[in-house]
Amino acid sequence: MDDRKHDRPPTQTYWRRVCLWTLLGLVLWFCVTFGVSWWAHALDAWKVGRMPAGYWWATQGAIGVYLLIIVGHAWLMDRLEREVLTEDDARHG
Amino acid sequence: MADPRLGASEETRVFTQVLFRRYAVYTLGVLLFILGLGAMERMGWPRSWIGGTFLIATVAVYAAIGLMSRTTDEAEYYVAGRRVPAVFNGMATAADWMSAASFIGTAGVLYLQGFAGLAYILGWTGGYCLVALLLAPYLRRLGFFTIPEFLGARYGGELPRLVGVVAVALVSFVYVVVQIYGVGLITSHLTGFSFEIGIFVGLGGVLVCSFLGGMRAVTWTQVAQYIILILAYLAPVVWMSLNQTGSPFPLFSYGQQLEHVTQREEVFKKDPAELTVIRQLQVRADDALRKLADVRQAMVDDAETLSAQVKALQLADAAPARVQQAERRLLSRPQTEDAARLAYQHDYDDARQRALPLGGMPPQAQPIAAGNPRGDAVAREAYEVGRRNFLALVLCLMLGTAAMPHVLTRYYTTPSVSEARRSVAWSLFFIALLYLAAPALAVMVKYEVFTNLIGMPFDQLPGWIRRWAKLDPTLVSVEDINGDGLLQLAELHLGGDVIVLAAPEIGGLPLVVTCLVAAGGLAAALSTADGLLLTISNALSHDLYFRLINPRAPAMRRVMLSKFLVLVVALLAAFIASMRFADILQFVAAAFSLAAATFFPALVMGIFWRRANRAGAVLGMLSGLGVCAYYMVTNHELLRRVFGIARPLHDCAWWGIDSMAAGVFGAPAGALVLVIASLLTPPPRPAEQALVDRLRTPGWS
Repeated sequence: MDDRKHDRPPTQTYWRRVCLWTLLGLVLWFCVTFGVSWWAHALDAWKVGRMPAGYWWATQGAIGVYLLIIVGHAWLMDRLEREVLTEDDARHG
Repeated sequence: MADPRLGASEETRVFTQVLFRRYAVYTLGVLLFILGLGAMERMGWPRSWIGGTFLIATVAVYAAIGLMSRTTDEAEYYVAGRRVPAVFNGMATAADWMSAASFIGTAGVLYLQGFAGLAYILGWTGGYCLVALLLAPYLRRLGFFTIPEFLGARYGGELPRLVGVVAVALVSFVYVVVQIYGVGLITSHLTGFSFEIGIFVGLGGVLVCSFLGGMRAVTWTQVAQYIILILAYLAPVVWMSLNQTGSPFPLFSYGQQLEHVTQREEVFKKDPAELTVIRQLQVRADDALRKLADVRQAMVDDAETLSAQVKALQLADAAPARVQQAERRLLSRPQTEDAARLAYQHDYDDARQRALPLGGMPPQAQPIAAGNPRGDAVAREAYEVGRRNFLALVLCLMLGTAAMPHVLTRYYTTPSVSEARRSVAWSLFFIALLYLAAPALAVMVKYEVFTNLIGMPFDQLPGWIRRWAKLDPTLVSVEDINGDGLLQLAELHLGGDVIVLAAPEIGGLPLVVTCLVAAGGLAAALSTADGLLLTISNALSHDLYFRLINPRAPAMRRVMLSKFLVLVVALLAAFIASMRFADILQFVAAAFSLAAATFFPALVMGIFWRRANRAGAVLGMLSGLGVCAYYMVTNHELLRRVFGIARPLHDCAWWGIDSMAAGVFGAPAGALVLVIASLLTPPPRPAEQALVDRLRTPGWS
């Protein structure tokens, strides 16, 4: 039965949740990338510290968000995997 | 928590501690070495000795690490035994990733192009989101050795693997030639050797690593190289920030410098002396245009004018040096009509570029410098094209980042899937340290130039201007165009590459920091070259020879073959780099576009879409590559000339996108073809389906 392991429901829900979180990360990634590139001019109406906001987002803000996306994703994936594996262990002793 | 399938195992934790201790000692050694050389500088060591010591010491350290990590074991050679902890794999990836172009070029592009240069910063950091979310953990979960191996296993059969090998070799080879070019440039700057000798000295360092120890040696050298390159980059930035703003944290303090720079830009735009220089440059441009209209006549006129000048100087009994100068101009004038046309064209482009406001540099903080969103129809259109190109370049660099084979293979070396994910986060962290500092450096150098250098009398200009102008007049040149004896912004030409290399001198730092920066640039170029060479030779030996030609070759012979191939590829790349093609740096962007168009759809779809099959992958990769290459050939200045494309550029460009970002067309085209071709052909076979299941099951490592 071990070679049929992948067909068990916990793995399927696991994969669906992985895809969902990944999609969320990608949407966030795209919004930041597109927003910073496309509306830089409009963002300059504000300031961050002493810099025009468009410039600040392109030099620092966006990179910070990218790092947060990756760290958050890694944390969530670890948690998901742990859940599935402990469930798995509980079933098979 | 102690589950080895999750997080870091006990073994990894102990190993991490050992590594921390070793690299702490190493970093301390580097700092002491720099301080020692600083002391020697005070005692009067000449410049070339300090440069030479830096070169020999750093290359010797890399070679020593390579020697200590030599191996013939297959897993050690291909993937460093898969026990590189996340933090250190992050550092190694950062060094692998940051090339000579990142280290030397980025701040220069930001200095010259202002906001437009930020496309590189965004693209080269945001791409890691795609690596982390879509690729790295899944590639690690399957635990292969190379990228073509994944393509071969996922899509089945020889063809996907073969296309993968060819594309890996193509992309990486273009990139490695540029790195070796950078090695030659920096070595000759550091020691005064000729460019060709520089290439081969640097190459020795690369070869010892990848040749003896493969991925294992390359990994531990790359960590050492990262430490040197980040110290070298941050030292002048922090120092300048301390000098200019009194704060050791440039990230928070350079906002005020940006304000000053922006104020100065407004002043320069209205300055009467600047306007005079600009008018004179326009006269020059018109003159060159007139000569271009009738090149033959202009050549005759030029010869007459120049010989008249020599005669006049001789008659007036001028200083011998001035007479010689005039004679040299007469002798070195272009002799053939083609050469003369090129020279006039160059004069015209140069004068026109410099006749623009602020010496052709857009205002530092202004997004999309071309056009104006609130101007007339022409200005609005120019603005729209400008921001379309910015976004296209950002996306293209991101997709390319996520498809660069030498970066993806780095994530094969972590102990587990979870460590691979964490490792991507560390990679971006270490990379961001440099990319956050680059805009600060550009702004602070600009502040220094705008407030201290401009307006200075010509006979008091600092020494670095003269030295660099002598070394390479295309990088630094000054000319008193309006004859007022003071330097105007339009009279100063600074090339992009000089911004980082000369930053310590511009900021008035000791010589030892200049050498440190050059050593950092060398580390950046060597580490990237190492990773690339290994990727090419592993693809050729493991995927081409072992999987396709001789499947019964023993592991030992495969490793030996890979070592031999490293040597051959390195020599070939060095040979091509030593021919010193012009415009070589443009090919970096080409490598990114090609990687994005060829690999990105096939890799991501292979993981996330079960139905993707062999026919789809092969056709998708080929059509991605094809569309990308077609767009480059029809739109790139140089390639258009080579292939004799007669259709006007305006008709060839799609939505006005520059050929640099050809990947934004190639990648979607590749994905589309992959989907259509997959749906028209039978679904993947059971073995390939099982592989997809394995990808989606937690706990595999």
